[in-house]
Formats: sequence, C-alpha cells, structure tokens
Amino acid sequence: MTDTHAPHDAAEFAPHQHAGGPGVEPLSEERHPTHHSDHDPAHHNSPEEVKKEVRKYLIVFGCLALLTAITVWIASFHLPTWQAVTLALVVATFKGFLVAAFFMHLISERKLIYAVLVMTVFFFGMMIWGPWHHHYDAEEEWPGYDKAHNAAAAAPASSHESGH
Amino acid sequence: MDGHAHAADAHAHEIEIPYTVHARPDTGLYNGKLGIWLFLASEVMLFGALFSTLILLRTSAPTWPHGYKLLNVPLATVNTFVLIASSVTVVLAWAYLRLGELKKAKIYLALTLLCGLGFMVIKTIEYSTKFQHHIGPHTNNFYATYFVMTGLHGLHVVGGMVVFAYLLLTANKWYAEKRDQFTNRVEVTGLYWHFVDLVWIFLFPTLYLL
Repeated sequence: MTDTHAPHDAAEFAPHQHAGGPGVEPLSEERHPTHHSDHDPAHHNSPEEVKKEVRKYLIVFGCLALLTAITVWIASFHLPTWQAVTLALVVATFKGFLVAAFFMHLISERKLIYAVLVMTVFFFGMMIWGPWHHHYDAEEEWPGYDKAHNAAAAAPASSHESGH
Repeated sequence: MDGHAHAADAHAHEIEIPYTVHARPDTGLYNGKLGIWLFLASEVMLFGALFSTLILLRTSAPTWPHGYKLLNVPLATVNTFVLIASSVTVVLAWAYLRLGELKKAKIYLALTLLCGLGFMVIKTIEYSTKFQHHIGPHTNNFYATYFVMTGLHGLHVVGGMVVFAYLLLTANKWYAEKRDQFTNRVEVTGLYWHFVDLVWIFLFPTLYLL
C-alpha cells in the first residue's frame, strides 16, 4: 500500500528509479519513515510483509479453487430447488467473502469504505428482498393466482397464436 | 514581464492534482481508491438490479428451466477457474510492484490480461453455440436474463482488459517517473477486477448450476 506515508517531495519520484531489475529497492519502510502512522495498518511494503501477503493470496486461491469444485460437485446431485439454491449461495457467499476480505483487503480497510459499503449492502438487500416479498404478497392476496398462472402456461400454444 | 509570464505558465503546468498518490488526511485514502470504491458501490447496484430481476422472474414463473440442462457447465467451470486465477495474478503484480520488481509485475499483469482473453474466448464459444441453434435473448426469460447478465459481465471483463493493456504498455515510463502512482493504479484496477470476479462467483451457480 503506497498511500500510507506522509507527502514527500517530488525528488522521490526522480528517474533514478529504473524500471525493474535488482537495482530497484522496494517501497521500504526506511524510505517512508512515517509508514507506521495511522494511515493504513493493513499494508506494509517491507519485503517480509509483502512475501507473507503473497503466501496468503496463494492460500486463498487454493481455497477458491476447492470451493468451486465443491460447488460443481454439490450441483451434480440435482437437489430440490431450495436446498440447491441455499447450498450454492452459501458456498458462493463464502467465496465472495474470501475475495472481498483478502484480495480486496476489506478485512482491514478504512472506515470510510466500510461506511460506503454498509449503505450499498443495505440497498442491495432491499433490491433482493423486494421481489420475494412481492411474490408472497401476491399469493396471499390472490389465492388462485398461481393456479390460474399455471393453467395459462399449460394451455396449448395454438390458442395464443390463433389470432396471428 | 514576458519571462515572468512564461515562467508562471510553465509552473502552472507543473501543478499536480493532489492526493493521487498520498492519502487525504480526512479520508485516509488517496482519491483513486475512494473513487474506485464509490464506482464499485454503483456497480453493486447495477448487478443487484439484474439479480433482483432474475429472482422476480424466476419466483413468479410457473416453470423455470435448470441451467445445467441448457448451458455448458464444464466450460463455465473452466471460466470460473480462469477468473479466479486472474484475481491472484493481479494481486501478485501489485505485490511485486511494492517489492520494486517491475519485470515480475509486468509478467503477472500480462498473465491477468491473458486470463481475461481466455475467459472471453470461452464465452464466445458458448455464445456462438447458442446462436448457431438460433437461441438468443428473445427465446425466453431464462435466456434473456442469461444473455443480459453474462453479456454485461463480459463487457466488464473487456473493460478491465483494456485498462490492463494500457498499464502494461505504459508500465516502463510510468514506473520510472511516478512509481507510487503506477503502483496505486495497479491496485485500484485490481480492485475493479476482483469485483468482476466476485460477480462471476455468484453468476456461475445462479445461472449454470440451479
């Protein structure tokens, strides 16, 4: 993370920093002595810390691959719809958590980002909850709704197309 | 007088937009990072609206086909692995930039781009098979949601690929001149790319496996 240090002058970006190669020093804490400020405790640029992160990313990748295989394996049983939906969404949510928490670093992010995401999750939840709510209300309000709908769907196509 | 004016003009061109690299004291974030998160929040609502539509159509329909009977699950599974792998390569690229190893970072950026390309090739195979059988968004509600959701997701993949190609092409110059800024750009592009991966993680079981 390179947003973690206090502003320093433009000389730091001078062209002496050649692209790549062994001569280029990492964005080390020595180069940014204010690195331990409260800007972002999640990311350090010392080689040891970055290498730890790399190992963490590879472990998360392994977990995601395994969970993908499990998702496909579970689906092969062709479970009843609600069981299949629940299991698939539980596994997908866990995979999503891994990506968001570790690859997107949400496990240790700034408060402002959490504030943005809390609002987003609330409105997203409303959008997902709405259709189910609407459907069940319709059933309660018009008990014959589903029966009539099914009958219409089962009617011969020709009766719909006779006018064409 | 003229000399002063020229000097002032030249100086004006040197003024940089603040907080493109360093964190604002009040937000604790550089602007690019806050910007990408606000953008991703809007993207959640965009894809959320489509998932909401899918739920409404599916729960209201008297019958709804199983995705595994109509769509190519093995190809989609491969695509899932490809996209997950690309998420890893982009964080590795960012990690190596922080270690000061541009060459390795460029290799991982190129691998990310290749994964994106592989994803789109597989998606094209899937689409073309459907089109050959005269199946499209017009066929029924299932295919309408399938094509709209995977199509919009595919456009996001292409958008990410364009940015990765740009980062790769400008890497040497940008890294030499503004190393921190380039590293941050890779980070925010990575955040976008992970979001694209996240959307697919939910699209895959919802459309293909249920």
